Amino acid sequence: MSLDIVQGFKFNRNNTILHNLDPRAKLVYISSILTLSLIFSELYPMLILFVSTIPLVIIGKAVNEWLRSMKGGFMIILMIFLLNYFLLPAENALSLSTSLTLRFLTIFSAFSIFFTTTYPEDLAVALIKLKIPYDYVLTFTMALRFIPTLAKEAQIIIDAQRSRGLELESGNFIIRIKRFIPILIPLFINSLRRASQIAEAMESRAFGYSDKRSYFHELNFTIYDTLFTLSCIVFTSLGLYIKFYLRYSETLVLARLWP
Amino acid sequence: MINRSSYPAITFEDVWFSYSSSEPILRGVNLHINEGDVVAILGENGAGKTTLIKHLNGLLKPTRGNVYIYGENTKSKSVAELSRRVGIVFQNPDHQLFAETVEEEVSFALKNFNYPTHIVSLRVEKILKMLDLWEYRKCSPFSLSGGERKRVAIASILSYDPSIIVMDEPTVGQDYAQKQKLSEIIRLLQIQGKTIIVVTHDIEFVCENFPKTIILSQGNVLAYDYTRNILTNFELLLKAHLLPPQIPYLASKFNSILPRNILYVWEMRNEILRVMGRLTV
Repeated sequence: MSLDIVQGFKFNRNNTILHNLDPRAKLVYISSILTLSLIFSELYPMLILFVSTIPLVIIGKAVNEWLRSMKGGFMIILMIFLLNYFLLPAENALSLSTSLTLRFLTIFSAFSIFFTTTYPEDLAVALIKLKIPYDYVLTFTMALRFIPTLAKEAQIIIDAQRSRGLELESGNFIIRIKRFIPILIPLFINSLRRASQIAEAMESRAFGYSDKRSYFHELNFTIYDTLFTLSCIVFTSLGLYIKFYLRYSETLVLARLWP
Repeated sequence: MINRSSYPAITFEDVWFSYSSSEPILRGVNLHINEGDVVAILGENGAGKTTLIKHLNGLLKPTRGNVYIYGENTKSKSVAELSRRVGIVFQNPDHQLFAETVEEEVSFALKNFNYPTHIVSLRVEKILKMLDLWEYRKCSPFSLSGGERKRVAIASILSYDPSIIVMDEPTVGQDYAQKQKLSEIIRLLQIQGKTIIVVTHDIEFVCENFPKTIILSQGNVLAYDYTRNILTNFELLLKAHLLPPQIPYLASKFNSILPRNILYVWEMRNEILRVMGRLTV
């Protein structure tokens, strides 16, 4: 039992072009990928979108983490493919289920690129610059920051319970779910304890003393950020043009399935 | 060095281990621990102590080399099968407690190993009494103090009577009385012929309770010898970033008049009396 899937979403300290980009520029990238992958449901556009994320994974030097995530998420990926393949009453079920799986992989890759190359503190500052209240930003960034910690803790709990003879890999689906109770209860209780301890520690360090805050990191939107953002906008506009103006040949495939 | 006996409980043969895409944590560990041995594992942070003990019940399998438990290769056994013989008490009890009552928590492993109900009750009662937890049997483990929770975690492993007992940092967060209680339990298990391995940073605890000590450093066994030989070898301790215990350290300050291999208070007392010419023994 492994929690490799979260590895691709853990900040990976490095000094690459992507790491140095402003998080706001990378948020535009995420929005572009989300928009394009949701408006297209055909095989080739999805394949192009997915392939387009790979060079960025390489540039961000997160290939190993990305591959581990993919390996960890293999069952989910397989499930998406099989469920769509068997449940969609379409003649082109294979092509459609492949493209829907590619949609998941594309979004997965884009978020992986974002989180492996964006320092959580920078993300917080970027969100604040976008006028989001500090309390919400803090909650969001702390939740993100604790995902790897929780994954590590979950692994320790799994190890501890397996050492007491708990078998997670055998039995039917219901039995397997029940066997997760000894994992989930300590994880949940420890998370609550940690949340309470962090709240106390933060208040002990004057959290909430003033509405005005200063920041350790300041963000500068450089020429590279502008170029990257413009590329994303051009890429998205091109996609929208192909989809809605040129009416890409296999549009509304899903709509055709249930006339 | 300690000789290899004909009854090795644990054997590490050139064991290498690395988590994917990272530097090796274990680098060619060779180790033989005999049945009935009581051994402490010392080493600086990141030396690979916890990684080493996770190989004992197959939670981790060597990237290279082999680990044998009573002659059986861990690679061919499941964690559940190995856990029947090797009980590991993890460092933080909160990583395993989940049941509504202490007695349910302690019976968890016994039920997993499919023991009959009457045996489960007997074992739970015996172990809870042994660890002074009987009065808390109906309490929630989460309502207990840190030390008591630690004892519940130890009880939940001892309850199913494994031949090899491994404890990761059992003295962390324990007061003097609890440490004494832990020492008593280790002695009792030693009398029962159990093989005991304890990972710790508590060097005084090692002095008092462990005849043999392993020093791990940078993923390899730096030394495996009798505790006296290890803890009075300051050069070795320095290499492993460990502080010497108080008594040998004090003896070293009087090295012209006192022998350097003194480990216990009573030995120091005798030596001082001898030096003062008042030794009557």
